[in-house]
Amino acid sequence: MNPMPLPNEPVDELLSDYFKSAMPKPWPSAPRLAEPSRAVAARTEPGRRARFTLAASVAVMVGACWYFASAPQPAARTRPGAEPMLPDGSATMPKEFKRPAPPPMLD
Amino acid sequence: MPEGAAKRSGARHESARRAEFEELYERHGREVWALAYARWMDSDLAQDVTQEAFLRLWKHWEAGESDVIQNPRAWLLRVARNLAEDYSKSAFRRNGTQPPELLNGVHSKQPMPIETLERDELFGQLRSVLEELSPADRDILTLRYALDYDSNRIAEILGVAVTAIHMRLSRARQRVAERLTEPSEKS
Repeated sequence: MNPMPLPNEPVDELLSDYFKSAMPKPWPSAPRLAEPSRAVAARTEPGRRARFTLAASVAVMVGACWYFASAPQPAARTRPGAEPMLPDGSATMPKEFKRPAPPPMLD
Repeated sequence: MPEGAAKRSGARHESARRAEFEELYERHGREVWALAYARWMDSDLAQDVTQEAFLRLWKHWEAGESDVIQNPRAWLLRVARNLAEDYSKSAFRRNGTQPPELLNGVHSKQPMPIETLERDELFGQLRSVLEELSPADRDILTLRYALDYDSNRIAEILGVAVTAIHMRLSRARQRVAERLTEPSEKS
C-alpha cells in the first residue's frame, strides 16, 4: 500500500472513519480452493482400476480351470447302452426298468 | 517423463499456483473489495463479489487459461465491476432489501451507548450523501479513504489522469461537506 497522510479536516476524518468501518475486520483470508479430488486423481490414471479388475478375473478363471482339471475322475464309466451297474457290481437296474425279454420266435 | 516424476512436478506446480493466488489476494483483495463496495455501499455484498472474482480467476487458471490473463489485477477489478453490475439486474436487488439492522426499523434490544447512536446517525447521513454521488466519484472516495491510496495510485487503478482524480476528489469532498452541513444551516 502507499499510504497518504490524510488532511486533518472533519470531513476527511469522517470519510476515513466511515469507509474504514465498512471494511471487514479482520480481513478475511483467501477463498478456500477445492483440493484436487480423488476422482480427479483417478482420472489421471484411467486404466489402473480396469487393469486390476482384469487381472483378478483372469486369476479366478485360471484357478477354477486348474481345480476342475485336477479333480478326481469317476473310476469307471459305463459304455453307452450298457446295463448300469454300481462300481462294486452289487446292484443292477431295477426290474421295472428292465425291458421285457422278447417273445420266442415261432417258426 | 516417468509417472512419479510427472506427479511430483504437477504437485509442485499446483502448490506454486496456490501460493501465487494467495499472494494476489493479499495484494489486491482490498482494491477489489473497494470497487465492489463503491457500487452498492454494501460491505457483505462487496466481500461476496471479491471472493467470487478470485474464485473465477482460480477457475481460469485451473482450466489452463493463465496465459490469457496478462494482468490479473486489471482482470480482477473488471470482473468485480461486472459482478457488482450484474447484482443490479438480480431479482434480489430489484425486489429491494435493507441491511438487517434497518429491517422494519427493529433495532437491537441491547442499549447502545449515546456515542454509538450519534455515530450511526452521522454515518447514515453520510451514506445518503455518498449514494447521491456518481459511482465514479464513490470509486475515488473509497480507494482514497478506505485504503489511504494517493491520487497517483487511484489514477493507475481507474485508468484516469491524475489531475482528473485530484479534481473529482476535491469536488466530491466539498459536496459531502456541504450536504452534511446543510441541515444545521437550515435549522
